[in-house]
This record gives sequence, structure tokens and C-alpha cells, in this order.
Amino acid sequence: MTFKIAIQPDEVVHHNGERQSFSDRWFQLAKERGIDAVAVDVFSEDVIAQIASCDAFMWRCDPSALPRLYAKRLLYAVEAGMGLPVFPNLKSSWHFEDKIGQYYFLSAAGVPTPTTHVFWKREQAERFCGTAKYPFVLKLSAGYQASNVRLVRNPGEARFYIEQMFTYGVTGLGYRPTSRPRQLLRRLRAAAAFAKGHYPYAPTEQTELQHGYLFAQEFLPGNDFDVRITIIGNRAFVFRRLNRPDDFRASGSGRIDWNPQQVGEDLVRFAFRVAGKLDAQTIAVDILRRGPEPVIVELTLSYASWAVRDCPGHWTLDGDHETGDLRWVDGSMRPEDAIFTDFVTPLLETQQRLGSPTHTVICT
Amino acid sequence: MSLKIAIQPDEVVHPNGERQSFSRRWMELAQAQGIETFPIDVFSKHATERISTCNAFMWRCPSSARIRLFAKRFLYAIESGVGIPVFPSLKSSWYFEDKLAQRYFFSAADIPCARTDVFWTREAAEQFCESAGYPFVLKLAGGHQSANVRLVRNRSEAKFYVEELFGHGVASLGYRPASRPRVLLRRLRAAAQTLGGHNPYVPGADAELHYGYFYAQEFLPGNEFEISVIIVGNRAFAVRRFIQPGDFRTRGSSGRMDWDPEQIGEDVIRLAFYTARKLGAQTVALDILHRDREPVVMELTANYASWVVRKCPGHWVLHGDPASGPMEWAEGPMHAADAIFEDFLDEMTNSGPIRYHHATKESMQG
Repeated sequence: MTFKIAIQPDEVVHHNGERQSFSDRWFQLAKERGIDAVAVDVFSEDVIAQIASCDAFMWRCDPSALPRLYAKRLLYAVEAGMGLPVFPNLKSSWHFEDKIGQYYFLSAAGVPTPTTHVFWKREQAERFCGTAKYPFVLKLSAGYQASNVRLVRNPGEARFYIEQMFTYGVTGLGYRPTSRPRQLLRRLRAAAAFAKGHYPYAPTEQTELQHGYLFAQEFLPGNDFDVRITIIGNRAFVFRRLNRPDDFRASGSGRIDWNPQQVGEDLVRFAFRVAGKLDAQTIAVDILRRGPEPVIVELTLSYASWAVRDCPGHWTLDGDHETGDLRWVDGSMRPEDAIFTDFVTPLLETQQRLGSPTHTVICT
Repeated sequence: MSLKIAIQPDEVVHPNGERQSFSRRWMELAQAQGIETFPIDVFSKHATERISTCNAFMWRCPSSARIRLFAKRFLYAIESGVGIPVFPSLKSSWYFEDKLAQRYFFSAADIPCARTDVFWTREAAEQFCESAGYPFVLKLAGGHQSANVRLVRNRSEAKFYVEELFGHGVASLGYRPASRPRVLLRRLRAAAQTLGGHNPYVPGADAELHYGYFYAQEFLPGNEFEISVIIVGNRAFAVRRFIQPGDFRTRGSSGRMDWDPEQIGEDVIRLAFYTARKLGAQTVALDILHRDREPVVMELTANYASWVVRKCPGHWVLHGDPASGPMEWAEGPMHAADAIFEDFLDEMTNSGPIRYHHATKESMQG
């Protein structure tokens, strides 16, 4: 009997031109280890049958709305219904592109975050605008780009966004507060589009319609960078992302400092604590500081591979996040390699224990 | 130190006038057993902190979209973040009002179900319309009302719904295919609403926008009734709901129903137990139809009406494996809330050492 992994092909070309495919690398690694890897097509009708003929399933899914909303369902259906190991498993993916879910989780786990308010009713959101401390950071729950994050400077701006979130719904925070005549012009343009049979407010394959909530987070001044720590199993890859020029956001700036000396061990342990609570196969955490205290701003599952690969080394944790040994391992490592190793090692060990004749020397 | 359960109050009045509150019953039951309860307002600022001072959390949440979308996140955040037993647990709630997830689960778990095609692109959906067998049943992923289910009779009706689901998205399947002038009228109405500052397709608080998928299910003719089996732990309650004359749907819990257990086949009960076991759910209700003589699962529901369970003259109890384990009949009515609470207490006391550190922290602060 041959061990067989179903893999959904993935490919992304990043803004900096880096081409990324976790699946390409996984196929290569599988071959090197004598594991049978089968490409599946998750959008085909018989996808369940394709996966059912395998022993495990891996899909590095894109954060765009359509594949993500599908992947969350398919992955757990396979995990729960077939009982197969999957990557990412539910514990790693349930919070994927869901800042509201992340906030409740962090809060329930007692993990420090910027002060965050989630309002589910317009009246509550409006009351908040009257008493809020400005500026605050407005975020959409889903959306991996900085266009889904805005600094709100005054009650007028806040009311504009409340109107957007509770009346039209939005697919992005692209529209800025503007004068009354301009707003009317926007409406007119939208009405003309509707009359012609177009749908100007409709969601797209990339972005879902978000409405009916307001997610407001305390603005933390004095942070010129955030610290991104990517945890894979017991490894931590660290780097700092410097803010875009004249901006408060570091996400997607592409200005990265990989010097590990710049990231304290306390932050590494902090990130391990969050990953441990989640019990995730992998997770990237973004850390800012509120005064001296580190706080977690966001969790990311679909991080870019190249930024992790370019780390000069990584930390490994042996034992508990508070007291366990942290050891520095020199040399670059691809995240897809670390994920694959963690994923297949227990499967191969189980198979060895069960005495499958064809797999006695694969695990190296 | 005594156990303390955080409970979110719930109350529903059903169309037949039945008032239902799981939380009230749970609080009574807890009191009778000397267990402390702590009412929670899940929407309050300090809800998670308050719950983390308790040993468990229960919330019978309603199915309206906004609360449900909140509840799914909140419940699992508590389950994983605080690490205490939660009702409903993730395994009992992840599929809640999500027929897409259910469809993939049935197929992955090899549970007999009606043949269902899900298309994620307009092209694939359009291609299907060309070759589909008509009529078929179109469903939205969520929505517990029959407005989210339509019998599609021909290709042009199907294409209308493809346009709805891949064009602007819908909150329900209320709009029917219409003539060209009516379509133009609808567009003009949408334009007028937009001028007035509204998004004509934004759903209300009780609904969500369905967009970017097409869920088509085989129509199963010849079913005069649907069987609802409600599983709570190893108990099964069952009722038949009759299909409305001239329709292919039941009227949920408002139509004609029959609680005679003799009319329910053992195969149906075993299928329900098998499905619940596969899910690992604390409780789940299943709607079952027949394809010829074979029972097939149509849908899973997490928040069934309590009175329907209570009117059952008794229930089946399964010992062991769903396929072959012995089943016995337990005579007499039972509240769903009671069965859930009984099992949940077991779960709390058997889920390893009860966590006291938060409670200790609270008493130190107090």
C-alpha cells in the first residue's frame, strides 16, 4: 500500500514578482520522500471521490472570497466527514480572514490586543462615534489588503463609514468621506448602472459584501513598524515590516527588515503562546506595541512564502512557551517545506508503526 | 467549589404560540442540582471575560443571520480560547444554516443524500442549466424558511436564478422569473432606491447575501412527508411532517404533523444516529426523505423547535454502534432542553479536570 496525498495546485505571483506555489514544492518533496502525491481539482464535480482515494489532503488556499469561502467548507468536510488529516485543518483555518473571529478568540484567550469594539447595531455604532477617541482604526473583518483598513479622524468620517457599513454594505473601504454633492454624484452614477442592468454594489469573486457591523480598533501611535512572526510547528520566523512612507500601516509595504536581533525573545514566546492556544499547524501574528506592552493586531494564515524564506534563520521552541528552550537555527528555510515536514512526519510514523511494507525507510 | 455555568438567555415564540426558552429551563435544572448559573449578555463588552470565570457556557442561539454569524465566531472563540465545554460545540454548530458545508460533509462522510451539484462559477452553472434534468430544486445555503427553496422547472427559469446568484446576489429567492418589461421595472426600482441612498440588494439583519454559488438538488418525487429525526446524545425523537398539497415542501413546524413512532422505520433512525455520530454533535435535527425505498438526508438543523420534541410520545435510545447497536424505546415525553442539559453536565464532569483557576481569580478579586 502506498501512502497518497491529495494536493490542490496553487499559484500566486506577488507584487514584487515572486512566483509562489506551495503545491509545486510539495509535489517535489513528496517525490523525494517516496510519497505518492496526486493533484486534485477542488472545483470538479467528483472532488470528494478524488480525495477519498487518498490518505490526506493539502490545499494552500488563496484569501480571495470565493476560494476561501469554499475551502473552509470543503477542508472541514474532509477532516470531519472522512477523518483524514488535512492542511490547513480547522484549528488553523477557522479564523482565516476573519478579524472579528480573531478578536473574540484573542479576547477569550486573554491575549492582549489593541482595545477593540465590535458593534452589531447601528445605534450602538453611532453612540460610539459620539464618545470615541480619535483617531481610531476602522477595519473590515475580511480583506487582506491595506485598503480594508482606514484611520478615522473625526465623528464626521466615522458617520460616513457607519452609513456605508449599515446601509449599502461594502466590498472594500475604497470610498473616502466626501462632500455632499460628490456623494449625490456617486449615487447618481450607481443608479444609472442599476438602470442599465449592472450591479455596482455587488460582491465579486475576490471580495464578499460586508455589512451590518462596525469593527473599530484603538490607534497605537509611535509604531513605525510591526513585527511579523510566522509560527510553523515549533519554529518561529521573525521579521519587521516598516510602515509605508507617511502611513500608519505596515501590511503590504514590502519594506522588510530581517535582522533577528531587532526582535526580542519575549515577542517570540508571545507568538508561540497564541499559536499554542489556537493549536494551529501554522499561523502568522502581527505584533505592535501599546507603550511597552506587545499586543496582537491580527492573525494571518495565507502569508507570503518569500518573506519567510528570506529570514536568515529561525527559532525553535522546545517545551512550554513560557519556560521552554528557545534555540536559534541558522540558515534559510521555506515555509512550505516546514509545513510539509510537520504534516507528513506523523502520518509516516503511524504507517511505519502499522508495518506497511513499502514504507520503512522514507522518513529521513 | 461548585460548578458555574454561563448561560445566554434565549426566548422564541413559535407561530403556533408556543413560547420556548432553553435558558430558563437550564437555569431551573441547574438550581435543582445545586449548580450555579450566571446569565450572560453575549453582546456586552465584557462577555468573554465574564464567561471565562465560569466552567462552561451554553447558548441556544436563534437562526437569524446577524446573530448566527456572530454566534458561530463567539462560541468557538470561547471553546478554543477559554478552553471550556460549550453548548453548542463547534462540532454541533459549524454546519448551522449552511447547506453548502452540509453537502460536502454528507459526501465526505458517505451519508446517503439527494444528488446535489454545487457550482462556484457562472460558467459552470450555465453549462449545468443546459444539460440538467428538470425539475430540480434550487436552494440557498442558509435560510430556514421555504422562501429559500425553489422548484426550477425549465432552462429559462434556471438562467434567471443564475443571473440572480452571480449578478447581484440575493437575500432570498423571493423574486420569480418575470417578463422583460417586469425585469426593466425591477431595474428602475433598484435605480430609484439607489438614488434614495439605499443598496437595493443589501440584506436585512435577519438575512445574509447569497452570492457566487449555485446549489441544485435532485427533485425526489413521491414523498408525501418528510421525517424529522432529532438526535440528542444517544436519544432519537422523530416526527413526520406532511408535504403541503400542491407543493413539494413542508410548512416546517406549522403544517400537518404526525408523531406516531410506528410510522418511522428503524433504518431512518439508524441513519440519523450514524450522521450525528459522524458529526460528533451534541444534538442535531435531520430532515429525511426517501429516494424510492432508501432514506436520504436532506438537511441538518441545529435549532429545532422544542415543542415538536416534547410532543413525541417517547424516544429511541441507542446502545453502541449506529449500524448494529441495540435500540430500545423509552416511553414518555421529554424536553429537548432537559436531554441537552443532562448530556452537557456529563460532558463537563468527564472532560478532564474542571478548570478552577479563573473562578479562583474571580474570588480573589471579589
